[in-house]
Amino acid sequence: MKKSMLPNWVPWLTFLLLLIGLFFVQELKIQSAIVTASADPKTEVLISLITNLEAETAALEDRLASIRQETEALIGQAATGESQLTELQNQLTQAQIQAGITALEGPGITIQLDDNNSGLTSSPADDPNRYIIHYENLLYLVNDLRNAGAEGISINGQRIVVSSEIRCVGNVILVNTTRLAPPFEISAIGDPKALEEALASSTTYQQLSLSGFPVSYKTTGSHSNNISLPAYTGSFSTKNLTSAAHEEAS
Amino acid sequence: MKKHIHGWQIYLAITFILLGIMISTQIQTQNRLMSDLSLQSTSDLSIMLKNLTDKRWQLSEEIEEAENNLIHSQDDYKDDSELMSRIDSELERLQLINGTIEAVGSGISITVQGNLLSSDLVLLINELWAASAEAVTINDFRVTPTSGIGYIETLDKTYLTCDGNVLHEPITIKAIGNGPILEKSLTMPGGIADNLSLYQIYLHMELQEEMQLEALPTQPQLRYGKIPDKE
Repeated sequence: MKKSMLPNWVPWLTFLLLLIGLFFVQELKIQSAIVTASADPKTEVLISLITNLEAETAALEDRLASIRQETEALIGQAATGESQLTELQNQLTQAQIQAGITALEGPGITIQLDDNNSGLTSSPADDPNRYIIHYENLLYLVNDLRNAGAEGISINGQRIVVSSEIRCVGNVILVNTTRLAPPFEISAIGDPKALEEALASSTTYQQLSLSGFPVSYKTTGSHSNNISLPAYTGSFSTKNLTSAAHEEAS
Repeated sequence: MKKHIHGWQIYLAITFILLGIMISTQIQTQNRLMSDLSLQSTSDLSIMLKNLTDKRWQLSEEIEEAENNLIHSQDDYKDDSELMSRIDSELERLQLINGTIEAVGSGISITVQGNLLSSDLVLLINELWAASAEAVTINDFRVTPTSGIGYIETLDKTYLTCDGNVLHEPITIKAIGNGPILEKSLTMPGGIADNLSLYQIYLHMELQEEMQLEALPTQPQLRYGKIPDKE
């Protein structure tokens, strides 16, 4: 019996075509899920409400930032030449810097993080959650930077203040209730060397790096530009909060 | 010398091009799947809507207060004592937020039973801020804008730390804010209390009508950061 001889390229082509078929089926499934989700009228209403509210809160944040600036300018004008007022104004400025409601610049570090797209591509059947940056990764990195003495931090332009929450709802990461999408850039002001060392010993950073996530960082050197952090434009909730000194006086 | 191209090479090239297109489409779709609102569940969208509504109200309230202050400051421009009293009041508000003065208010106290990891404590504190906590202490150490949670190891035990201060057990967290909301945020099904209980870590919560939170013992000084020069 004559043995049939297949050319070398046939098994390769078969394998590639199978792979294409797999991607095609996956894509069809996802697209069908998208169509089903988009067709839900309740979802559409919720999305429209969220989009409107995001625009509204962004406008309110701009307004609050501008009032803060006007007030600051007014106090600065009034304090000229008045030593007591000047002293109080200086204390206020320091408190504003600590609270994060002023922009801040200085030396430090910038970390870049992104989802592991190449990992996902090479293992399309794997759980996609293994290849995305989770809110915990950002939260732990912020904590690592704080432990290294970071004086100010921002993530994708969102300034981290004392009450900033980093969380996720579904697959969406929220910082200061603002939606953020990858790639993420964490900027921190502080001693560049200490911040760099913190990353070297950061379990989160090292794990992401070892798992193939595209992570990198850059510190400011003596010749490079300083890092600039934007001011926090959100509000602080103080409804239930009173100074202990006030409480004693009353 | 002219090279001869085989038919199969063309087929293979086309197949590779197709594969490239498929992979790129797949990545784009996957990215969209991760963050597009239309692909989130109705309950997740409802949570986002509620958070944004709360944020809008909070912003509106603070804007109203800041606008009033601004108008009055303009009126008080020539009256130093009035202006100073307004600056004083804003300064006190910021000091409360920064943790540089003692704070009093209602809220919740949480005593942790079990071996908490530093990452658990980071998540727990984050959860409290997400539920609109207004001031927080861990074992009477005030959590400030630059506070970090870590751990130190001794020969026989590992201790958690807050800003380098050792946290001896039991760890007690106090948070000023809306007590019932703070409690609910921790105890919701599948929430942090549920997750910790899987590791035999239990949170004992008590609503407090009034409690006092310690201030940071020393005023923080910035060594590296400064306000950018105005152009």
